[in-house]
Amino acid sequence: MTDTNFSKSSSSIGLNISRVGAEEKLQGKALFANDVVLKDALCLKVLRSNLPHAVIQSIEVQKASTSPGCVAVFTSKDIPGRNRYGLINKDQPLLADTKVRFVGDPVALVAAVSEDAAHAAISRIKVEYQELAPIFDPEEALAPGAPLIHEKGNLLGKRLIKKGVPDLAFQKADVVVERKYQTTFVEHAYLEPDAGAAFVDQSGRITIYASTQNPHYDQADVAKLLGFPENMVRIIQTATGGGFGSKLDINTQGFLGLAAYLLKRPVKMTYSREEAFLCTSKRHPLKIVYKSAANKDGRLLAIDVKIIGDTGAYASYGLAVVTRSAVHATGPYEVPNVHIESVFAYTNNSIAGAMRGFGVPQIAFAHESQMDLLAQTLDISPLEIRSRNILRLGSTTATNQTLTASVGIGACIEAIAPHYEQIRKSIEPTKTKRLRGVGLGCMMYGIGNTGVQNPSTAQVELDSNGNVTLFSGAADIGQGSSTVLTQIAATELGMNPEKICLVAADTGMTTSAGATSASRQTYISGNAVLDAVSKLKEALMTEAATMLKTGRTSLILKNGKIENISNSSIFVTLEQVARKAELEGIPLKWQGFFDPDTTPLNPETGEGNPYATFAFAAQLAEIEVDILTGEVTVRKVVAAHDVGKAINPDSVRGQIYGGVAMGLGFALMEEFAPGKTVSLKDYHIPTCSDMPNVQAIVIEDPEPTGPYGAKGVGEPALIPTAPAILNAIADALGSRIYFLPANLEQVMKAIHSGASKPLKIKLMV
Amino acid sequence: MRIKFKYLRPHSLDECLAVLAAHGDESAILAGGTDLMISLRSGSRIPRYVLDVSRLAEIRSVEQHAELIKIGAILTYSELIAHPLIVKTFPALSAAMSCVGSLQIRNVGTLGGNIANSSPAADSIPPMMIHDAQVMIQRANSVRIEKLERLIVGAYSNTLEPDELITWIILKPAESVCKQTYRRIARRRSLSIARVNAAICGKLDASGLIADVKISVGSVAPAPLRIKKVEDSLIGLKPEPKFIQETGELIARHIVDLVGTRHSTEYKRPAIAGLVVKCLEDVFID
Repeated sequence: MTDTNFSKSSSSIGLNISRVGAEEKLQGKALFANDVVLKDALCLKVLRSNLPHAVIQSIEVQKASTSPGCVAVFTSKDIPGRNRYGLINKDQPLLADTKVRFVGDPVALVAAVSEDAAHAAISRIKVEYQELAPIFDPEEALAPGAPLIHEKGNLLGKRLIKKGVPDLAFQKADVVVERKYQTTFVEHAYLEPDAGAAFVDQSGRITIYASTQNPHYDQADVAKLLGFPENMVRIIQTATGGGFGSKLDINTQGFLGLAAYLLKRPVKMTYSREEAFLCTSKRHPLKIVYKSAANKDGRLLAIDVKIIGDTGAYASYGLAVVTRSAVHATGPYEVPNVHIESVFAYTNNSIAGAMRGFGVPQIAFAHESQMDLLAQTLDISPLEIRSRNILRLGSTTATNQTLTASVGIGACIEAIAPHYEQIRKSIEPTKTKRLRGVGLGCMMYGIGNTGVQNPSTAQVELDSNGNVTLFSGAADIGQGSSTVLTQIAATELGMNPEKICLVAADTGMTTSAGATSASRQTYISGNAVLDAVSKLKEALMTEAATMLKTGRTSLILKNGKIENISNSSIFVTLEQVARKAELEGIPLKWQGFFDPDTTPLNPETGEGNPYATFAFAAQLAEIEVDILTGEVTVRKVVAAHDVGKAINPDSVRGQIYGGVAMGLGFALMEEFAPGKTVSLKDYHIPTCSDMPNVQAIVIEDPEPTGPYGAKGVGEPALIPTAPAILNAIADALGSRIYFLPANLEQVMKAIHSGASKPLKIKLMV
Repeated sequence: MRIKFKYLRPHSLDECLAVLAAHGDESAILAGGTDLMISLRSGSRIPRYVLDVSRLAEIRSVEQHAELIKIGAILTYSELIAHPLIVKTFPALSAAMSCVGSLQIRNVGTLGGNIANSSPAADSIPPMMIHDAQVMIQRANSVRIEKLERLIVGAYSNTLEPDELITWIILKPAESVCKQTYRRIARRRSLSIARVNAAICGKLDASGLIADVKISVGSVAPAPLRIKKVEDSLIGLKPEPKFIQETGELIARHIVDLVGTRHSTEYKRPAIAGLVVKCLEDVFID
């Protein structure tokens, strides 16, 4: 950090202070879960189902148990608590009991003295299955008479959103466009495969070190699996190499907890890349039928959207995706008449769960394609049709939520408009074999969980030496929450952020901040930190006023001192205040709390205020298609994101660059085929040589309820990229792709299919 | 999965061939290891001996013999890409070697290893084929020289015997007036396997007609192909855009006829045509 910048303002908000933990990581000193060394730790391995759907008839473990170096083999019978876990629905067994539901379902857990011994033991377990008919398509899963994957049925959940009178609006519309879109499973492909280690201390408490984005949830679910009190399970997040949603699930924690608890010995578990691919959650593949109606001026009149999702064998965060994809189906546009139905089913595919955006990247592909199709039909520019329809102050969303502040989509579009026009002009009709195109992608994204309470808490403590310690349960998985929370606390206390000691994501030391998901930590945990720190500050100022015998309002907290505003030579140090407070028994540890102001969605109509604030973004992509080979080169992305306030602008830009990379992969190459895709050898994520020049533009339309006006950017960064790229491909080819990824095959097909043939267009102008 | 094997590093070619004579059928040859390590880790190969040939001084050089250039089979891609004679004489091969895997792979992977692995998508094979590549293969008491096209008989399949070692690759430089090119299509720019790759070398005569052309296409059949039938039919013709387009389509058709229609044909047919067109343009149109 630049001390000079800091001392001028004594605020670090908006400064690019260096990332908390960056030095340790650069020097290789940061401890990732696999780096945790516990003396004599046993190695854990899981035997997983090789069948997608089968009843377990018997599990023979005798030969494995007596295999050299094997210490124990556990099956579902050994689980002392309730053998069901899950982020929302508790439908997933830690070890399969009656049946297996996907290739990769855990069947038995081996603890052995070495990795080789564990592998040897695994190979000696014999499982007899009775195969059941598998289902790999969500529509088939919901058909009458389909084999049941779960006893309660194959329907995961359904969300309806109704507003206005869409039928009437479709009849009156000048133009109606209807298309079907499809996306595939996507793997998170975080750098660090899942890992953890655990031990039981003398008091019987289990401590689990884990690569996680959700320590307090982990604690609750592990405790339930073990039938053990929550306070006897401690989760400590280790340095985490990315998560993108998949480390919200307890991927290793349940196994670690079970083995440590039953054996009372230290244990360790590390997934190989192949295992992480096989059994951790993926992005939900969606089928979307999207019908839009507009008048001849391009004003949206109605949408009718049907979403069918595949959650795979278990729910994970699936229900959140059911709802979030529906709530965001309008995109950042005001649509007076809405009918949205989102239905997700269980199948025998890989588990689909949370992945950066919770269904919004998929639905954004559809709504942004629709906007371009309407624009094309009505001969309005893509930029203009968006500007005419965007949400503004006072607009209502699909759920009838009225937006009262921080609606920055207009500013985002304005920011990229000159770039768009310039590129547009530079593209001339050409007879070459490389066609250029430019496309837009816009989005809105509700910050925090949808229509449910999702509070965060924090504590701050001043010790008698004047040192400040901040306690937050928020897991920094690389996105930078630790840095942002420190900046917020430091600014409120008028301190250099480097002077604040942060204790984070350790259930033994911190209270819950909720999950690192839904782009919520800056907004929600930032507010909880602000609440705690404000209370401490208030106490200190009051005490200092007494000490300095002056009015509270004539004092300012700055650089570790509370001084008189007009005479800085009159001051007390924080240390002095702390000592005094301690003698007087005034508390110096304060608790903060924040829960965004939301209301649940009406189950029949979807009406409600599901989020307290929304992030907005507009991106453009300039691409080039080689019509001889089907290769797409993304030349440039300009990304404007309304984040409310950039607490740390470099972190915001970092999120945008990473999001664009992930969005580019989603657009062009990432495709996980359950049962086929093995590892990074056959799953392509973009490398730096695929990356375009990315110009990040930070828009700050302050959110009054946010800490210093901040909202969030983690997921929004990714969402507009794929729509922008797909719209650019359509612009280049005059032919549109309705399937993600737009891989070589899809692009070649589009090249040879000629200009787009509308599926159904009603033009009554 | 971890397996146990004995690691041997012979100090000379003779010693190496002697080990192969004695234990060839229970040995795996380690040159760069970029393919071997994967099969050892997966357990698809469980050799008793791993024979490290990577430092055999006898076959770590590039030599010029009259009309031919001999390349030591255990030279790495990175070494060859940096070798002035290779870069100057075989620009298509140099370009192809620059596309292999990642820098780390190129630092250890070898040309001989690429041949021995016999992947249908090997980057180096089409650009060697346009130089009528021959492969010198040695065993304890004999040497054979095999045409590259005959050595590789299918996907990951060749006529190498367990006691044999590829020692040299012999390439015939093109005439200096010839132009050479290598192109590939892949799912991403780097760290990827070619979906289609092709190497073409050719020259025009004084009146602008095709005087010589050699075409090799990979990733489209069990083994990379030389398309000699088409090559011969192009001699004496004028490389106009329409003709080049038709030639691309002709080669694509030829390959589809050869390998049959598969799931991938819908993409590969136009892609082969497109890639060949781009290569022909590189060689015959500036």
